[in-house]
Amino acid sequence: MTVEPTAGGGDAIGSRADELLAAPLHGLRQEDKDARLSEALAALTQHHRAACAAYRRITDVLAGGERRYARLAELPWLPVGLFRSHELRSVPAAEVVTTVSVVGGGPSAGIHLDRATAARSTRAIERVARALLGAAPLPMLMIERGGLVAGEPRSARAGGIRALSALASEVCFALDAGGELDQAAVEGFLATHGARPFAMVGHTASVWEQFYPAIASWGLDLSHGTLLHSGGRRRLTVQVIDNATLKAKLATAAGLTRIHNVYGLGEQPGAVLVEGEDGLLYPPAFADVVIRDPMTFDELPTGKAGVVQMVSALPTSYPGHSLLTEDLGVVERVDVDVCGRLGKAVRIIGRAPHHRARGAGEPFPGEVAP
Amino acid sequence: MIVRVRVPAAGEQALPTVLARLGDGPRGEPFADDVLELCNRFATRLMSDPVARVHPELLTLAMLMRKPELMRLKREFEAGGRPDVVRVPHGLVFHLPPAHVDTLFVYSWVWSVLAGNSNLVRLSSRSSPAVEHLCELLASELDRPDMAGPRARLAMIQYAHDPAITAAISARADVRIVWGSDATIAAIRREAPLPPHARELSFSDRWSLLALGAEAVASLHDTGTDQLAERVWSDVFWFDQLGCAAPRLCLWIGDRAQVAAARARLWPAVAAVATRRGYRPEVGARLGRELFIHRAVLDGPVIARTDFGPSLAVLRVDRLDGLRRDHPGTGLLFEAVAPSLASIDRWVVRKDQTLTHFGLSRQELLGLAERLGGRGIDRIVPVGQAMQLGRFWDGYDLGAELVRAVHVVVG
Repeated sequence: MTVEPTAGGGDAIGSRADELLAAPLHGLRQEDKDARLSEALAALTQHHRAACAAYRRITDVLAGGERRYARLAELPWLPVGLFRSHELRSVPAAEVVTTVSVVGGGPSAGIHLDRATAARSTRAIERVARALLGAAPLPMLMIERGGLVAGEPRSARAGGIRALSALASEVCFALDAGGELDQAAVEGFLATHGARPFAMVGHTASVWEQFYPAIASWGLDLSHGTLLHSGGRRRLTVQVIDNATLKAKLATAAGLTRIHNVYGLGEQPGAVLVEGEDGLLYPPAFADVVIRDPMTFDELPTGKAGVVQMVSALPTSYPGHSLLTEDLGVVERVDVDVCGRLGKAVRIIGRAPHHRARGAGEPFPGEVAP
Repeated sequence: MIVRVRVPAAGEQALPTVLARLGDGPRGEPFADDVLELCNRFATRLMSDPVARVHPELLTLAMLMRKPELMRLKREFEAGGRPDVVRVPHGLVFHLPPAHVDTLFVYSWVWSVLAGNSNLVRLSSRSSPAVEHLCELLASELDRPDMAGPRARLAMIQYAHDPAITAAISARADVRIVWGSDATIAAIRREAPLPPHARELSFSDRWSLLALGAEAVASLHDTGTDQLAERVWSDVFWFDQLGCAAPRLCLWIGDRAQVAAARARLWPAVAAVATRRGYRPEVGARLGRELFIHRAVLDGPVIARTDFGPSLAVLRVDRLDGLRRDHPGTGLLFEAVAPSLASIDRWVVRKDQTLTHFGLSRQELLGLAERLGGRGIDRIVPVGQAMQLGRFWDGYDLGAELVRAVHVVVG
């Protein structure tokens, strides 16, 4: 788009985002959260319509233009893949401090963060991590290549590593330059830190395909560790490993019992769902999940599986506050306080299947099964 | 180099063995009796097959292969002959049908075997239930003792992506038929050269449209509207709108009032057909369509979007300039209004293949073809016939291309 968005003007939406960032992470009742989030997101929708010409065009043609939104589910959403092909920005180019590259995107595609949005994303990751790991900085074993941050500095993965590293007392990378598990590094880390609380972070695929086989055969003791694992979902739909099995195997092999799956979009840094002790994923106060019928895109009730929409109060510099993912999921229950967390408890089922189409009238394999 | 032979059902074989078998033995001839008999038997079984009831495109295939239609084609062939020309098969034809139009491999084979050729057809490794079913049916018909001739001259095989195998087969081919995509055609030309004498029929990515006379549509009674809707449905929704002949743009010819009345009746009727037939897109395809729609709004002259149930989304454009010929399939139609077909005279390009029509006069249609003068559009056929793969396709006359004309002058 050739029209440059106007600078500034984000104070009101910024402060709403800050309030939600400061709220109890999983302590808001859903009704309260709905009210606060829908107000924040309605304001964000208006803001992005005013500041981003492409967003205004889309919402004019596809979402009824300028309108009031009474409920969260009425808000327009963008398909997350749009960021792979188009530049969508709500601040002048000069105010962009980081552009996070998106998987599968072209060279100019990415998430444009200004100072404020970048700071809030970092704060969000901090809040989520401290809630799981405790307030004190811990030694951190990253199941990643050390060279990744330098090699792909703009990737969401690198951004996550940087944010978490800032919370650690020290960082060790478990994968060598070739992406193989570095036995010496891992055993060295555990020899020094293994007897006291420590953290481990990595992609689910790396944990399952590389970390688990190694720790099983090396006989490591990870009983003082807490593992956060996320992403790699595209590969995992090909694999046959479900979350419960992964947790059971890690516990048996290495005494690792504090394991938290984390789900979030690279296009919404900081807006992550964390796995509770009940195995379900909980959105933070500043973000939420809406499940939609894939045929009509109507909101589905609790217990019905559909396409996952993610909303976040954080994106003020780009219109990423309401995105339709390519994943299927279901809200299992709401405000059932089994592990000290309120709000929606979500299960992510996996990527929506996409085979080449068959002839008309054939039962389609993409039937959503809860 | 090992391949899996599906028809005849022979399992894994070495490629040289398959090629040797196809190369040996007596040559065929155009419209041989045993070939006609084979096709007729196959068609008869297909027509009474319960699977065909669920897949209307299988019935259309069966209609082509029944004796009456084949005899008509034979008479047409004979009528096109000359006393000084003996028409003979080329020899071995190598077919590369697309994965996304299930029945196309049979059409491709039929046109070639009617010409008397031996045929090697590469089937996609990701086979659909329809393809499996057709292979089983054909293999069982070829198994009968009086079909030794046709059995010896056919191999339908599968192999995982291997340019070496494609190249080895191509080196022995007299004709290669490649049904898209543009990228596949380019890759095969690079990786698998043909012998100097051989020819290639290539069917590249095409784009098709629908032209409707608004007044004619608006003045239909309910029955007429339903019948038209059925035909539009079969053009658009067979093969999930991924076939090159499936219309992706609907051009209304008429004034705004006529068009408003016509579209208000037609699109809901088309959606009703989809519902009646239990058609629903796959979740991934549905999401892909939604993403495409958002991109189209940013990239093109889209002014409005209306959904008619989950199966059909219509994007109105206010002009054709700037409308890209990208498309996700899965029940999406661009829609434009024009006072006459002359509006597309300059917009049509080589990539445009089929124009299906209703409510337009003979003069309008012939006039368009004449004014286009070969810019594009190889077929202008009535609504409902878009997907009927006939003798004339993409500018080729398949009946003529698949035989060689031997010129004999006596003294």
